[in-house]
Amino acid sequence: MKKERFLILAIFGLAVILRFYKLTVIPPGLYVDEAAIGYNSYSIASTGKDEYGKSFPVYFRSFGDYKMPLYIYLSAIPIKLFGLNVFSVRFLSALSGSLMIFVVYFLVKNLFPKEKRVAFLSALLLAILPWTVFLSRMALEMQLGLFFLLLALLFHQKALQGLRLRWWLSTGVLYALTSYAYHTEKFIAPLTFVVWSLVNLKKTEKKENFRQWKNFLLSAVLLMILLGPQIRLSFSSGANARISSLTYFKDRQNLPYNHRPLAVLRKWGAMYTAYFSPRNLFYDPDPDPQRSLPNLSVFYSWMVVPFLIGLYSFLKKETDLIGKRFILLFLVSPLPASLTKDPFSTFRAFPLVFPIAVLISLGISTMMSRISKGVLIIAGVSAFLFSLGLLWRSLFILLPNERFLDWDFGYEQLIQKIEENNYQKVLIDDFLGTSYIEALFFSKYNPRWLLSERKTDLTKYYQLTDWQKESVFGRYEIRPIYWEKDVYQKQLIVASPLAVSESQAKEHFFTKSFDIMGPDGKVIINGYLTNPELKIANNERKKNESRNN
Amino acid sequence: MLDFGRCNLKHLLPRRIRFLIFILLLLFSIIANPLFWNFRQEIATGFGFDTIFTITSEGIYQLNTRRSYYPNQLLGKIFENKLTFYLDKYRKNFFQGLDLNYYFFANHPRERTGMTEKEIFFWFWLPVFLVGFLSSLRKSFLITNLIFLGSLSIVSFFVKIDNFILLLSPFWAVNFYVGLKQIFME
Repeated sequence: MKKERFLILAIFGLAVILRFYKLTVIPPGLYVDEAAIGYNSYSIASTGKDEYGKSFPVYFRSFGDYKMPLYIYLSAIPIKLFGLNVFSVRFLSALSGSLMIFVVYFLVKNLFPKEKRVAFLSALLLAILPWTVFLSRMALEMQLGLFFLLLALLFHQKALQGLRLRWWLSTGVLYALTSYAYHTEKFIAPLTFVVWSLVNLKKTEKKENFRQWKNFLLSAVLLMILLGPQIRLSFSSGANARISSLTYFKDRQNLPYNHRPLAVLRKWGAMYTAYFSPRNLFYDPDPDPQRSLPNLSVFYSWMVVPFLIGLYSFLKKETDLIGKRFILLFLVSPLPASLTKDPFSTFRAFPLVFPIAVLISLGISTMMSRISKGVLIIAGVSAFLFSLGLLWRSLFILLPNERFLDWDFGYEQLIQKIEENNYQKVLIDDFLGTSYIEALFFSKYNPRWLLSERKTDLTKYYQLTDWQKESVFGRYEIRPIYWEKDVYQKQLIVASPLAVSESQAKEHFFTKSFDIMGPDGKVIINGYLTNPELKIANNERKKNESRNN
Repeated sequence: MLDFGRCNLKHLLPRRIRFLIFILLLLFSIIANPLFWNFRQEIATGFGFDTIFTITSEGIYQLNTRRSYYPNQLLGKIFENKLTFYLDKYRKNFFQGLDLNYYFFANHPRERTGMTEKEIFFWFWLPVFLVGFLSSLRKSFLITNLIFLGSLSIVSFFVKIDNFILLLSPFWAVNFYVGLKQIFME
């Protein structure tokens, strides 16, 4: 017992180190969605309203993507404790990723009571997998969603194994919380609750059966009540527009057949199968550079062997029936992700990490029972160190050097420079208009001032799927540069070297104020002070010259 | 008269020694054959096909750039070298060969740039294959799957594994057969 406790605490310690070490600088920078979550959380903590002035919204409008609320509300606690900074906004993700180790251990122990090793191995794998470590280091909702999903499943198991109503009610509450954590869990949580209950409730004694069904129904009613606000808003045009933009059902191009239903079925088949493809799981990372680690997929390549052995063992062995039914999680997890256009979305398919990790653990456990102790220690230690080496290479060496631009690196240094030098008026060139949130976050702009400056029509809060491309608050203006007027105003213009070249700066008499460099030593952001007097004088001179000519 | 029925070493030498002599004779007969030395050259050049053991100037540039990221030169050489480069290419081919989407969906949704993808099997047969594969794991066809993995491991040394897909056909044939039998006959 002591040995078990020591082992699980050691795995937890390892998970904490991998998630909290250099949390503020890896990933480099702060992605816009992270900044949006952080600032909205700060606004909620300060005023009880989001950045648009909506009091305690069910979904956070943000960039028209309607972020799920749980992470934002819970982040108010670390932000109150540590202030608004990169650490406080990523803290909740790292913490839930670390605590998930305990949940996984107890859950797997419950699902496979005869396979004690599998519980430890599952916990160890989830502590070191690239998928879990990487997502635990981002201030995004996925890790929190998975934590609550697994916790709900653990309570669900306890509820199914006993007759106490309180376990069922707790299960309902946890599934409800899970549904508010992330978009994927919004679909998976109620589905898991219903399917897992129906599959496991059927075969019990008659008297117990009635009581269990009664508890299940009460729990289902509680879950429906708690999901009420979400269900009501599911019919809003904002929610539907978002879903339409992500799915491929209405795509008209590139379908192989003229028969639309068949083409969509084929497309869905391809997308769903992609989530079980060894190529995507063990070699080729998510094609989106912001959602993956360089040269490392979601699992380590060597794990394909224990995965196949685990699959073989799972089918062959006389596993407990509950354990066999766990395959449902394996099949259900990628369903929401398979309905979207992204080829292999590591964010949306994140719940899949659990059943695959358990299968790999089962495979490793099978291998352990067939080889000698000496070989086992050498192989085990080698695989462990090799995996950590690959993780270190991708996460701490390649990611900050190759993907810093994908993580909006540079804004922290930029806003710091602006605040230190106390520029009166600042124009940040941004075609997309999303960097306003970075300026709000790093300047810790008072939410009350923002709300008084920004007047938003809240009657259509849940109907709008866009955001203001131009923002003005305090000294900041975030929009594209309008050359015909901006060069004649006394201000600091901030832009990338692509947006404002050296020749343009020279032409308009800009004075270089500062450079922000990337980790590769190249300039990523320039700060130029305008010289309207010189510009006007030059224009006058040219006019006179042309008149004389 | 000589009794050819007793013309064996079974009674003279233990089993392990006999086996060792057999292996040595086999190796000698291969090495002593002049054809072997031509074959060796063929292996080294991949029988005229491109192998993974080539590195372009872009590859060298990438290796050198990545080496510069490491705090220590030695670590850079350990993690970024030709061996890791070849290993990455090998892994790319190996996992390409394991990808169901490659066989059933013309590599959709992760088509390779610059390549014309083809659907090797009609996607409708995927459930039949899956039933066959999972059933074969439970029955005695496991050896077929192991042979497939072994063949794929060899084929992955070549850059374009598409040229060698036919070699893996017994695996597909067995699993389709088992699947069809399971669904329609049992």
